Amino acid sequence: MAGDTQAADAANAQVDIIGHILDSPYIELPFVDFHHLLAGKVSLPSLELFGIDLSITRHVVIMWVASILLIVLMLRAFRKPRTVPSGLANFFEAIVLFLRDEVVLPIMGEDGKKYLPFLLTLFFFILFCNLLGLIPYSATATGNINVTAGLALCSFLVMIGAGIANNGLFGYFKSLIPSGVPPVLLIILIPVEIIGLLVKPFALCVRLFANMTGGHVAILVFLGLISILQSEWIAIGSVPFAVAIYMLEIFIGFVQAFVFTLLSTVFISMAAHPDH
Amino acid sequence: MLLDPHAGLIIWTIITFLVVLFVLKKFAWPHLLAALDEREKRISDAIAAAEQARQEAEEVLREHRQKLAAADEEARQVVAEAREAGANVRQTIVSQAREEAERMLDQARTSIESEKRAAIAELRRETAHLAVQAAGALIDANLDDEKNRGLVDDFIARIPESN
Repeated sequence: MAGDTQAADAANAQVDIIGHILDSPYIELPFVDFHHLLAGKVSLPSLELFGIDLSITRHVVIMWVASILLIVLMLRAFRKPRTVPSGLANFFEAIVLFLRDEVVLPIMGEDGKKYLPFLLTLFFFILFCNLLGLIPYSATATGNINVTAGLALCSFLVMIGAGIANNGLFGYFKSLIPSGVPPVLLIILIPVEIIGLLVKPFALCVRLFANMTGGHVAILVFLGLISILQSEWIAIGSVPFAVAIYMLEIFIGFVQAFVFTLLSTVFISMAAHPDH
Repeated sequence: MLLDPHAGLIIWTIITFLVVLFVLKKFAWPHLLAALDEREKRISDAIAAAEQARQEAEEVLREHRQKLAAADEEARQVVAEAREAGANVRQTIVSQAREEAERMLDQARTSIESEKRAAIAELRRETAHLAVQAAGALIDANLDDEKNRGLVDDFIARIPESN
């Protein structure tokens, strides 16, 4: 009897790491537990259009929360044009100034001002998703490869768009292939260049996904050790480690948002000016 | 499971991102970027203005220094000129005074000479007169004496023409 209870407890106590990271058709909320019916889980509506599953999942909801948070804070900070920033606006401005003066303008030149709204939005969107994922009961939308794929796709489209806008449709695709190459080599070169083109968004997508997932798995593994080894003494070691990784995750949240933006900038710049 | 493709989520991501992009592009970024540009412009303007003011101040300072030096030089020149003029005036006055003194001395000398001459003539006239009177008296007394007449003639002849 006692053994059964312990086994059941152990089964309950197993930390579902992958389940925590994966998308799900419900959101978890604290204190929502109507007589154990919901068990803290609120189901989300499923939706299907033209044969595509457009269900509102947990990551969609989190993404929306992040977006609303971002929009509300940004509008509060910058709704009115002000010369002297204060409070929140100062914080955002420092980041925007850094991105503008250290990343976008040095890479793209004056041309970069056109892409600045896109790149800034990209950075803050990813940043907010990253940081929101660190809050308990939340989820990391950017730790889902489909979300990062969507963002990488946006970046990819802007990249191609910049290339076509600056070089013309034919000029852009011609610029992908180095000039002065013997025609025989083109048989190899064309597929290579196409792969090279597609690898860019793929790299963006996988890098962000892997980084965000990795950190969360690490935190969960450290905490999971407590239940796996079934001893609360493990917490003495594993909780500080988890906290340390949590701190690291905050930093990584910034760094990955920055890296995504930086690489997008570089890719867009390369597409716009293929000659250098 | 981690890598399961899910087209719906990709679409939702793109939609969400585009909405955020639209809202921020419309309401936040223009203000922010314009404020940054404006502040930068203001600061660079202020720096340029300060630089210009500094240059102007330097120019003015240089001018003033030049003016001061010129004024100094002029003052020195004026003093030198005045000194020279003073020396000239003194020279003139002294020489004039000397000339005047010389002239006065000469005048005095001539006047003394003429007075003396007049005095001598007067004396001579007076003496002659006295002599004549004396002679008259003598003649009155002993004119008849031929020998006395000879004495008077001798006396008169003995008086020098001038002394």
